[in-house]
Parts: sequence; structure tokens; C-alpha cells
Amino acid sequence: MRLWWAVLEAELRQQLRDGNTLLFSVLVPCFLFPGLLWGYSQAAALAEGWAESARPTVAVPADLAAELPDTLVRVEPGAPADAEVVHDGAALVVRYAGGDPLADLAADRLMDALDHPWPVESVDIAPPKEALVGAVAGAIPMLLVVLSAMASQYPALEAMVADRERNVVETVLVTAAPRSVFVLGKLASVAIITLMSMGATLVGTVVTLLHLALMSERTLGLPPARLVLLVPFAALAALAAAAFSLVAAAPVRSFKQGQNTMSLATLVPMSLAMAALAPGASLAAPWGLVPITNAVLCMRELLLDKPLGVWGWVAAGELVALVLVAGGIAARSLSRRMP
Amino acid sequence: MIRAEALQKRFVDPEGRPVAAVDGVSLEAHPGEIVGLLGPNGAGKSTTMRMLATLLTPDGGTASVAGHDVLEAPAEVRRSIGYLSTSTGLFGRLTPREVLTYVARLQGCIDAEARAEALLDRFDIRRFATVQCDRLSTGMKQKVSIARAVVHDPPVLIFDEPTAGLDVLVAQELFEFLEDARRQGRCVLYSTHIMGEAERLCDRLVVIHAGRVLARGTLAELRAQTGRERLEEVFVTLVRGPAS
Repeated sequence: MRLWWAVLEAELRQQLRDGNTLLFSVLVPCFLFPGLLWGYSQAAALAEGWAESARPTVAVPADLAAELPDTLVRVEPGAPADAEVVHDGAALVVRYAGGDPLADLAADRLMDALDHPWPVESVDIAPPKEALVGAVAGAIPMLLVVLSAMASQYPALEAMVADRERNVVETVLVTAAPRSVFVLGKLASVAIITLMSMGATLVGTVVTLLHLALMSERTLGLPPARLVLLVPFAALAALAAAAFSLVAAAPVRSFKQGQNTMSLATLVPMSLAMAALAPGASLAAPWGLVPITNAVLCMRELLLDKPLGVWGWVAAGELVALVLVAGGIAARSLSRRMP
Repeated sequence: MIRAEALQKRFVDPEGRPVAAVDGVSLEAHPGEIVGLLGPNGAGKSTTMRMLATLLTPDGGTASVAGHDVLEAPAEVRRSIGYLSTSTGLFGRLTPREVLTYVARLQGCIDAEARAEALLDRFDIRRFATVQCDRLSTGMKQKVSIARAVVHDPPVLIFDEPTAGLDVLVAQELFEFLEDARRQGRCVLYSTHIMGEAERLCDRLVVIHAGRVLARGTLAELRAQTGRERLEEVFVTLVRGPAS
């Protein structure tokens, strides 16, 4: 165990000091979701600005109010409380930003402007949340798997090819430590870095959701705590991606050749993850039988607080089998390179 | 300390034909002596050394190091040897201190950190102890490699052309280290094709060519055998025949 730990420690040090590994395993996962959030807020603000400038703002004289006794007056969220009464062609709209007190204030102002009492109805005209929540609940697990697959590329190449290319492998092979210790240490280092990347993605996601919940009105309806439920599936999917990368790196002869091969090979787990977002994809046959795709679907269901039933076990079983088979192939390939 | 009997190793060439890289090599090296393995490129020196270091499995013959058979007790052999070759790389993103500690732990040293610290001083690499190996000069890398090879204080050293690419000063330090090792009673098997090195360091020489041993003995014995004075002439005579 002490020897294995020594190998693992050295492998992790060696790998985590590589710029590519650091970029894809730590930096991208950590900053992707916050970055996307920032981009989203910027885009939303921009779109809001455009909508604002496009919407005609009109004063409401008393005679107009008299002409529109049955027109619905809407109270629209998302605008300054002391702002304007606008006319969008069909209705008079009081735009405001906050909760009910502000709606009341806006309604009072409207009533003042109209000189006589006017029935004001508050209507939530925000886009339906369900569609957005569903999309986000699918996107988060998919990105977890995609980023894990990306994160495992360089560590897998390092483990399978780089040492041999740089003749470092001899350095350890002339020591008394058993070969199996090196094989297991290398595989474990790739698995740990991939899991670390998955963890960083998850933390980034939680931070993003917390930010949304605490700092703005735009809650997605996804409690950040629910992301914890994803950990078992995300970890298994990340390990499967790592094992797949190791198998893809096994026949590679040089690091340079490996970079091209790995880019192509990583498309497989990525495509399987993205397939879960295909229209009609659900946690039932045939999608529920496809490894990785079913893991993403399971995670989506967990985020939406829906039961998994037997499909959860199917997905978990398939991922475990995938990890064991691919890990075994990678271990055999590594062992063959260690006389 | 080192005993090889009729060692054989065959490889397959690019055309698929079997080639005997080592064809019945026998040699011995004892504690407190440096035995030089001399031969041109492709003679089979490195293959012989790699078999003794358990990095290659012999196709025939037997070999033992420090009393352990290379096939039956490879782990014991590895524990007894310090192996170094020009092709042996270092972990580029580890520092010399980390490399030495790591290898010491792999070799089962209980005081791995202390061993590493002692070698940083012994080989004058403390100044670079925290610099990643990739950023070191060739000479400095080789010093780290030598320190790495002896971190577990082995009784047998197998050094395969260790001065390739080294400047005179670093090579000099290596020679001094090997002479120290001999004084301490270590057994050293040293391969080179630089005759000056062999003349200076080696107590006995084994001349190898095309996978076979052509001659063995002290420098004086080889001089007597060939009738030549300088080792370079001795070597050429042995490899090409007396007519040369």
C-alpha cells in the first residue's frame, strides 16, 4: 500500500503540473458554469435593453383610459418600479421590478394617471419555467460527462504513452517495487484527476445555482442541494470516461499521434452524453439501455426530482461493467509494456 | 557479485528475421572492482546489461547478481543494483528532491527523505533541488540520474555509457564517484566505447562484438594478447583481427 501510494503521489504530481491537464481538468470545469452564467446575464441584459428600446412608451391621458374601459392592464415583472405606464398595442402595462408592494405602487400611479379607479390585474408573463428547468437539468449532467471525458484525455496519454516515450518507465522498472503497483498507480491517477474534474464541474454548477438563487430573481427551480444526488452517477460516468480514454490511448505509439487519436476517441463518450438531449430521449428502452446516455438521463431525472425505478440500477450496472472491462484492458496493455 | 553464463538474446529485425543481439556472453565481476564492457555500437553491451538489470528476459543462459538469479528472483536483483543508462529518463515535472525520494521509497528505503537529502549534497544538486527536471541542463540531469541509481545504496552498479553527452567536469565527477564506489567494495559493470574512460577506470575489460565475447582480462593481459600498447589499438585489433 505504501508503494502504491508513492506511485500515485508521483503520478499525480507529474500530471497536475502539466498545463494541458490543468486547463482541461481544473480550470475549464471550475469556470465553465460561472462563465456561462456571466455570458447569460450579459446576453439577457442586452436583450432586455433591445426590448426596452423597441417598446413604445406612452403617457396615459384620462380620455384614453375612458376609451378603454375593458382593456386589461397588466403588471409586468422586470422593470423599474417607478417607471412608466406603457401601451403595447393591446393593453396598458405597468412595468415594475419587484414584488407585490411595487405592483401596488405601480397600480396606484396608473390609477392616478387615469383619474379614476381602474381594475388592475397582475399577470406573470415570464416564460414558462418548466421548459428552462428541463433544459438545464439535461445540460448539467451532459456537461459533467463531456468535461470528464475531456479531462481524462491528457492524463490517459501521460499514463499510457509519455513515460515510455521519455524512457522514464525504466527508472521505476529497475526498482524492487512490483509492476502491478505501477499499473494500479497510473490507472488510479487518471481516475482521480477525472473525478477531480467532475467534482470541480459540480462545484462550479452549485456556485452558479446559488448565485442565481441568492443574487438575482432568476431562480431556475433547481435547488443546488439536489446536485449532490448526482454524485454517484457522475462519478461512475467520469470513471467510465477515464477508462475509455485509457483504452483509446493504449495502442498509441507517440504523444503527438496520441493527441489526434484522443480528440477523436473522446467524441464517443461525448456523443453518448449528448444523445441524452435528443428529442424523445427518455429513461426507457432504447435510450435507457445505452451506457452513459442512460447515466445522463438518470441524472436529469434526479435533478427534476423524478423516480428512477429500475433504470437507475441498469445505468449504474452498465457503468460499473464498462469501468471494469475498459480498466482491465488498459491494465493489461500497461502491464505488457513493463517487462 | 555479477555472474553471467552463456547469455543469449535474440530480436527480430524489420524484415522479420531473427538476429542474435547477445550470443553466449559470459562474464564475471567481483566486489571492489570495475569491469568494463567494451564494444562498438550494436555489439550487445546494452542488451547484456539490460538482461542483468532484469529489464530484458534472456532467451538462454543464466545470470545472477549479488547471488540472486535474474529469472528466479528479479525483485532481489533490482534491490541489489543501481542501473543507469543514457536512455534512462527522469520524471520531467518532478524536482530532483521528489525523484530521489520517490525512487528511494520504491526501493523500500525507510528513511527515503533523509537518503534523498544526503544525495543532494553528495552530488552537489541541492541548488536545483526544487527545479523541475525538465528545466535542468544535461549534466545536471545526469547527476540526478546517478543519484537516483544509487539512492538505495546498492552493492552492484550497472552503468551503461553514463558519460554520453556529458561535459568534462561532470564526467570527472562521475569517475570520482565510481572510484569511490570501488574503494567502498562495490561491484561496478561499466560499458563504454570511449577507450580513455576504460583505461582510467576499469580493472578488467570484456571486449564484446556482434554479441560475442572476443577477449577478457586486465589491460596488461589484453596488451600482451594483441601485442598492442594503446587500448584503442588493442580494441581495433580484437575487433578487426591482427591484420588491422
